[in-house]
Amino acid sequence: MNSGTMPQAAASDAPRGAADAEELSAWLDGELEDPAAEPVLAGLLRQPHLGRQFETWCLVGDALRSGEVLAGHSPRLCARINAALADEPALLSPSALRPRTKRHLASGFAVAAAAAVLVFVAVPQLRGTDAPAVATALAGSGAAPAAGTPVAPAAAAPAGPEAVASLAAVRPARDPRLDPYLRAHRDFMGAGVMPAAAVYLRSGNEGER
Amino acid sequence: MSERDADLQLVRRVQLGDKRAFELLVSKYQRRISRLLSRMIRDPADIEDVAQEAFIKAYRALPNFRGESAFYTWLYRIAINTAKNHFAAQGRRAPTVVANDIEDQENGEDAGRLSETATPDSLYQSKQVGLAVNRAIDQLPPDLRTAIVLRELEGLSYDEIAAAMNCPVGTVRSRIFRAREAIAQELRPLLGTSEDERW
Repeated sequence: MNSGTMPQAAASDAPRGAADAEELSAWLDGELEDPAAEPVLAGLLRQPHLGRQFETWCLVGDALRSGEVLAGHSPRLCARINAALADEPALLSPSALRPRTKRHLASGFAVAAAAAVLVFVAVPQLRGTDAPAVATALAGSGAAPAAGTPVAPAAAAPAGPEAVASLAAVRPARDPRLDPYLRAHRDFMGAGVMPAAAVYLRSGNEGER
Repeated sequence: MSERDADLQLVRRVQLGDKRAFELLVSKYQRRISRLLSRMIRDPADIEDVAQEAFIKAYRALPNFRGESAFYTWLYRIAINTAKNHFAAQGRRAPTVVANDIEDQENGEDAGRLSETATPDSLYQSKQVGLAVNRAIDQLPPDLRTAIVLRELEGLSYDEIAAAMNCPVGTVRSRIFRAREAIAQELRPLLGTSEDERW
């Protein structure tokens, strides 16, 4: 009853098997592009006969390249390693579970967050108390500097009497009780280790005059 | 995609818990690792022990492998370190073989050492296999022979082989597959396996 259908099925399987094997051969050489590679790999891991073909072709490659490599073959070694492998737990690496694209996105967000911190936290601190308004204005106008780009206050400041008023406005608020201390330590001003501190030291010096 | 990417696909499978993928990596690289170790270790039994240890260490360390280098390069370093530890455990110093020297030998013609360490049986079998491969190559039609030699010996890509042989890439792919199968067919009786058995 089935005698008519069985050979037919076998005949239709044979070309598919050959095609699978040819694809496997191309995959072994790294010549199969990603969408086609995935099913071949799945077949290789699932179908024992493809696994045996893979092993024999690896041996053929080694034999062609060097008789010396072939001499290193020990039929027992594979079995020994696989037996030892059976005692090992299956791996589950979180990095393999995470798609690579997500990782790229995450790093992009990290860069954006760093730039935002620079604009909204670091720049205002360097400029003084009134600077947040400037930073906010810069960010609001879409002219926020890129990360790592130094901000030049002189370029942003208006010229003339407005400039003086503007500078006075950005002068940091300082407790007048600090002035004697700053005067006493003015010899250390301009040391350059912490350039941001120079603003305070200079302010103390000006107050003395 | 490259051969390195194919290895990386297997590695990703192992990292997702598929041990079978690691078995395939073992069967692909066990001969090259044994050959590498034979540069440092003389006793064939020790070579097998160290090779097994190196593969298991590699398996355990695989979650940390991120694919920045080729899998074989990474495995190769593990094998060398395992061999050094083997000597240290015996209170001996590893032979002063510079890694570069080993790499040169890996790629080069200096192939004498393994012959010194291999057992007579394995030497005999490898010689028989080598003769069978040569015989199979000689019997191949010229197109198939050229394609497989350009691929396996010269390391050319399918595109390069297609250009050299003035034929479509699909033809190259088919010729290489048929050549591999013809050689494997010649080897099977010698290895004592049928198509359904494993060597």
